Amino acid sequence: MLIGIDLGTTNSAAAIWQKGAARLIPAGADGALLTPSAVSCEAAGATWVGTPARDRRAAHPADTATSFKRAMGTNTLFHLAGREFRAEDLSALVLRALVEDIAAETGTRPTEAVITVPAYFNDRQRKATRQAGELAGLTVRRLINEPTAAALAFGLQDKGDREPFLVFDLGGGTFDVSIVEMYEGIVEVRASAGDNRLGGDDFDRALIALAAPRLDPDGRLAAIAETRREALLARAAERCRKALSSAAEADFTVTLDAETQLSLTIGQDEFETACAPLLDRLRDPIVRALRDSDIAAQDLSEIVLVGGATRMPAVRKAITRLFGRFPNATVHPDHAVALGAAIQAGLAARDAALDEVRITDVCPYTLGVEVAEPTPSGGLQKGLFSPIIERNTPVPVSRVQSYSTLSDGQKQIEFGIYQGEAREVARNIRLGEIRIPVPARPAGEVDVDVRFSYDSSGLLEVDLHIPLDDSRHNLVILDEEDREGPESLAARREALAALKFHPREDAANMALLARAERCYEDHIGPVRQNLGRAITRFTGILDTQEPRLIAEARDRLSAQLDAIEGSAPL
Amino acid sequence: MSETFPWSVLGIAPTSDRKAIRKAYAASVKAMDIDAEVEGYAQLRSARDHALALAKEAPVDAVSPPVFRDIPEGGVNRVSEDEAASPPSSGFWPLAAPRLLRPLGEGSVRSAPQVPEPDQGRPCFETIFPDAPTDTPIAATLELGPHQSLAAPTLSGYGEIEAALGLIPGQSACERLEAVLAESDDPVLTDAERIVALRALQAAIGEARSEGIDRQEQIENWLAGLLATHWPRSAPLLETATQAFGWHEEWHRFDARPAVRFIGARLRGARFRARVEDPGHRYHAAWRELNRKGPAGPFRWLRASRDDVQFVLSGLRANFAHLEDDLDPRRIASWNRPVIWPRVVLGLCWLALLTNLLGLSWPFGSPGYELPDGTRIELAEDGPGPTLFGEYVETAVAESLGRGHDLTWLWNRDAELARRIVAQVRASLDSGGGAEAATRAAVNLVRAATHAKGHTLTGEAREVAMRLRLDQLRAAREMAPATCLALLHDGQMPEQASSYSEPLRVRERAAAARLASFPFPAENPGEEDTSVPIPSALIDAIIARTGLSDAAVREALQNVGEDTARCDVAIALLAAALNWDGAPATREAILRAL
Repeated sequence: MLIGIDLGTTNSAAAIWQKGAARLIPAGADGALLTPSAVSCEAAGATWVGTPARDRRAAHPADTATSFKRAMGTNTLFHLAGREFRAEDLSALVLRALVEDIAAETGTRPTEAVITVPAYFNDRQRKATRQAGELAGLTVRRLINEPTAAALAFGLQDKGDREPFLVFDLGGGTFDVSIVEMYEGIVEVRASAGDNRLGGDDFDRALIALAAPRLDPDGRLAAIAETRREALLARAAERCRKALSSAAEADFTVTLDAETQLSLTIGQDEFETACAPLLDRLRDPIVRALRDSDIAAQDLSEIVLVGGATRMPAVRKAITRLFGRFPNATVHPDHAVALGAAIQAGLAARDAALDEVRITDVCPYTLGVEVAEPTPSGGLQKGLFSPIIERNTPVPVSRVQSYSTLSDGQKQIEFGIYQGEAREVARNIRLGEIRIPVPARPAGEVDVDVRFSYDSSGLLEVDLHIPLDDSRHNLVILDEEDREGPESLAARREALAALKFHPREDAANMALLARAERCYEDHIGPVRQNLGRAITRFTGILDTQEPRLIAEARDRLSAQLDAIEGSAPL
Repeated sequence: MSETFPWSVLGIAPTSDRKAIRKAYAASVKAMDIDAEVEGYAQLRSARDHALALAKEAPVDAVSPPVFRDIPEGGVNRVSEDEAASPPSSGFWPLAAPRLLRPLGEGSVRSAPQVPEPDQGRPCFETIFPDAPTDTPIAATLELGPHQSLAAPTLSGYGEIEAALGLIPGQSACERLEAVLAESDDPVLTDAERIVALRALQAAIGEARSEGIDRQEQIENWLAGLLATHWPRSAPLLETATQAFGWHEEWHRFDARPAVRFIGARLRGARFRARVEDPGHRYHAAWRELNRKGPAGPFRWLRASRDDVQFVLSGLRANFAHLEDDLDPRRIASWNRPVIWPRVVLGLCWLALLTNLLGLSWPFGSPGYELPDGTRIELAEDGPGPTLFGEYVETAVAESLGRGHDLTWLWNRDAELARRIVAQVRASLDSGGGAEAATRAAVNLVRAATHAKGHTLTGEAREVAMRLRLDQLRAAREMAPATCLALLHDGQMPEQASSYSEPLRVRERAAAARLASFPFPAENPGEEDTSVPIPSALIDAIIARTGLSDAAVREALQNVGEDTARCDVAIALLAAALNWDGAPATREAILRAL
């Protein structure tokens, strides 16, 4: 079975294409459609993924990782309860949880997936995502850009023609803009641009920067351990920001211990002022996408909002100001990407219902070579970036450029292959290199034709041809991990598989317990005392191992938590 | 391309029906596996784009914002064609946008510059793009919020400053900005001008921010072009504009807009200048010394050490060559004697020590490039090394003066020009151009020098320069009369190397090499009266050459009339004057005027 997965910064979701429609798969027993992208480890050994992991963050901040998508493609290590994880390992755990949910729901274990990535993810980040899929035991059939997926979900609602519209995708950690057009069943992405480091998390940080100095005049917050303080502030900010999406003001509340709660009311206006620098950063990617697609903002037929962070009134106001009209908020900001991924999965599986639909995308970055020039003194003069495939070229694409030797009798040429927009290669992303022998001739007499072929799933192939002696060389750009070899990959997969998880039945109880503990951390006074007693009682009943008693207690505790938190869970 | 392209690829008969074109395209895309047929897909797309472009065929009257000529590779001011071509009345955007936007009122409260001033005239956008769809004036509909009263005290006395500068009430911020920048040729703004210009710039930025994204970008491009065109008068404004539009993020991009790149190089120079003008700076004394007028006296040692002065000077040439233009050449010349070797060694040791003082803009890790007279130019660490840099310089010299000429050859004849070529190559590489851009810049520099020599020198040098000028004018005339006029008035051709024919380049090189033996005179003869009586013999010759009527020729000589006629008459006059053996003084005057 082929599935679609939205691997998000804050939340992830899985969807399948079934009977001519895309459908989201509920995560776990409580019917929620989103799985928080969070992983938490117990010192004792068990590993938690999703809602319980997010809930555990309140009590165990040091052993819980969130927003690890931001570290994809880097060497950042996360230390959870004495174990080390890379961002792709943690992503693989989230993917595996989604796979389990699908297996439980449909009775079949999926083996292949379409995974979404931010359009502006670079090659390294894409490779890391692909690898996360493989670590989770999935064959990644294709990576699809998140705004493209959202456009599919938006556009295939009625399959009608649409003049170019703009998908504005502001998620938890990344910001993407794509300009898409639909006609005659063709979904054509005209241009994409983005900011890999801009999302809801940054607005939380702006909120913390706004609130923290006033919140804590006595320095009590400053006195506690850093990881705990950060976790407390992050939770408070997230809650406050969400509340601000539907109210003119909201409380920024941090619970330090049983007696102490610091609270501050934040108004919509001051929040907007505090995030003005972030709102300013929304403009540049929009301008670039419009410029590259040669479309004027006024000619866009819609501004389609995707991503949880677009719920913020401050963001919507900024969009309204930039475009001179109200955006279209008809698609579900959290579901559209996963649904689009499922549609892409249906396309990849050549589902008959999608026979008349085709997607064409662009490559969002410029690809080119470093013009490395051996100097007569024997050194290498690192040159400049020479673009071969310009950004926002429709893919698949194949382009060729000629380069020639720089010194007499030169015996080899080295091409560093880069992705990016900077004039100096040092500021761009290095994808690989190829060094080829060339016939020794006077400078400039040996030409090398460099052909870049970039396919629709983002794989770059480099072909070199020397017309002089008709020799050819080929390089498929692989990342470091691929070079590690399959054994190392298998070893890491096994290491992840060796992590202990609670059995599914057990998991619901533990998840509820984690939620109760988070709730306990959030409150003071009598509520906290009552919660403490309820938790003790519940753990006592768990020890009886009586399924009927446990089920009853679970319902009771769950209802109690719902009442305290004032709303049903997600 | 076959005659029937794009229709043959799309498999339809020629049509202007968008829907039919897209339908044919869609059918073809669905029938192919685009991943397997990359070339076929590319061809199909280009056919589709071509067909849609043919179908569009809407008459476009492009708006022309100020053109920034000093920068190669056009595209300084990108005006969206869609904006210009959209119907003036029915589009929902121009009418709906401001009404939707203003009530939200973000722009009016965020910061002081966006506060509408009592004297504010029409919105920027309408005044700089008068042909764009019109908009209801909005200044009047804005309600004054509590924040605006805060800004009021700073306005006192401002009106008088504006009045003193002769600004007309009711002008938009952009018009005020342009008026102040274009006010005089003085490279430095007066205090009053600076205040008005900064306020106008901030108001324009504020307006841009409150506009929709299309207009925002148009205003931004317009401002970039304006500031670059009016360098150095625009100098005090660059920092503000750069911060507001995030230009510093763009400098390093390979597709940075030329005006933005130009502003970047100037702004980094200005930052250096600001640092060095601080009395606490290590090189402050040397900098002040260099900024004095007239040749330095025998006691110059008392004011600054020779090494420091040399260091500042070589750094300027290497990094911010334009800063040297502000210095008195005589002062530089007196400091510019050959350097005694031990002093250089000692100096270099000091330099190594003092690297940190100057920060990033002045890297010293790399070895310098040695000029024929022994002085050294520091090269940027991330740029080419001295050997490669030397190759670039020699390429530039060979390309400007013809093969067989090198820097040393030129140095022995016209050291000033040689030095300028090196500085130009360095500056061009520094501001982001590659070797080709550097060569192109050097060729332009030499072309301008040839032109200048034709005006300032006499005798053989003038003959050589003016005969070349005749060839250039003829070539420009073939491109477009406007190009020819631009060449006449500014002495510059547009920056399209490809449009120069090779035979013309050969003649240019030969003339430049010939003129190398005629260095500039020490003193520039001042501006002269440009009105020259033209003898009737020449008028007759012009009429014979152009076939224009006597009246038309006289009109063209007054600089009125059609571009084509003015251009033809100028060419004919130059050709006639060169072959004329009448009164030498008159002939010289005519040649000087052309």
